[in-house]
Amino acid sequence: MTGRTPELAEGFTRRWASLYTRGLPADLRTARRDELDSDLWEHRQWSTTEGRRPGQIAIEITERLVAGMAGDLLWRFEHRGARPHTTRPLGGGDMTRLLKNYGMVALTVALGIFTIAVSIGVITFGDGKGLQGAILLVGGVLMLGGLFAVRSGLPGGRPAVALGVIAPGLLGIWTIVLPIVSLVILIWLYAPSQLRREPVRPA
Amino acid sequence: MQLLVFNLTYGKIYAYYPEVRRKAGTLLPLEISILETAIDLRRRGEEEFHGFAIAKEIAEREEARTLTAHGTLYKALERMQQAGLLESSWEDPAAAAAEGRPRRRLYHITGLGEQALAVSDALRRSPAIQPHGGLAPS
Repeated sequence: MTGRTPELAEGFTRRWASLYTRGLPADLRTARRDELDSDLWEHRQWSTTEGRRPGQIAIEITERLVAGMAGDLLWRFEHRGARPHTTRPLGGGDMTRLLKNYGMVALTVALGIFTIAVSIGVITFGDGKGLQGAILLVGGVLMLGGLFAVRSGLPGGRPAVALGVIAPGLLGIWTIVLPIVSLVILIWLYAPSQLRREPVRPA
Repeated sequence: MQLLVFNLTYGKIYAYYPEVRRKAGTLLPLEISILETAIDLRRRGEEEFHGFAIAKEIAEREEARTLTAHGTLYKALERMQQAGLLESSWEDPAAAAAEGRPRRRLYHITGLGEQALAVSDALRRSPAIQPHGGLAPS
């Protein structure tokens, strides 16, 4: 083990913390990360004073990280209702963006449900179109599941929605309408909008 | 439900999280360790402690090979704070910066925390006393 291994273990711990605190209100997220930063620093200082080798320190940090992962996930689960927010009052521009945002969520939900319904029809009645039906079904499930993940602050939600949206768009069902709808949702998903990730609430 | 000796509401000891399933009036082993260690530290003149300090002290007291895991420790500290057993405050960032380290979150045990530990000790010593105030069926 080299002298840099404690830094690697600390890096893993910080990355893990940034993953499970993602989507939480800034104060909660910062508090957990700062507390962990302090812990890692104190751990390193103490271990060095005790004369432990870098490899030993790295193992200790990794052990504490791995053994606490279940606790971290439970903690995240307990804060599942907490949403990032600011307390500034809503302005006219915010309202327009909020309405657009909820409109896009509604459109994606509608497309997801529609895609699943179509997939069931294609699988049941489409002669020899089982694969197409299966792709649509997976697409619909990814859209709805991905949206749920985005709303719950879980990682991987947006890529899942994007993948799901591509399915009906690529298969080109119902002429040009669905590909256009898919494209609109994709643009919304990846457009730079902080409001979507951090909804504004009235003070 | 009140235990008259300590005038302590049992609900405050355990029922601070719906996900926590435990017998009424009991503390988890880690919570007992934290409270005992906090009292021990106070006896030695350290009123406040930070996360790593308590993990280190617990490991030394219990002669444990490993320190309490991050996720387990900070989840417990937060839970105990919400129950009113501990209180915490962030130290002045300038003081931390002057020492060239990240700021610490400093905890101290509350009166309720001491009462909870006393109740828990009493329950452990006398299994006949039930948390709901009655006696165990013979």
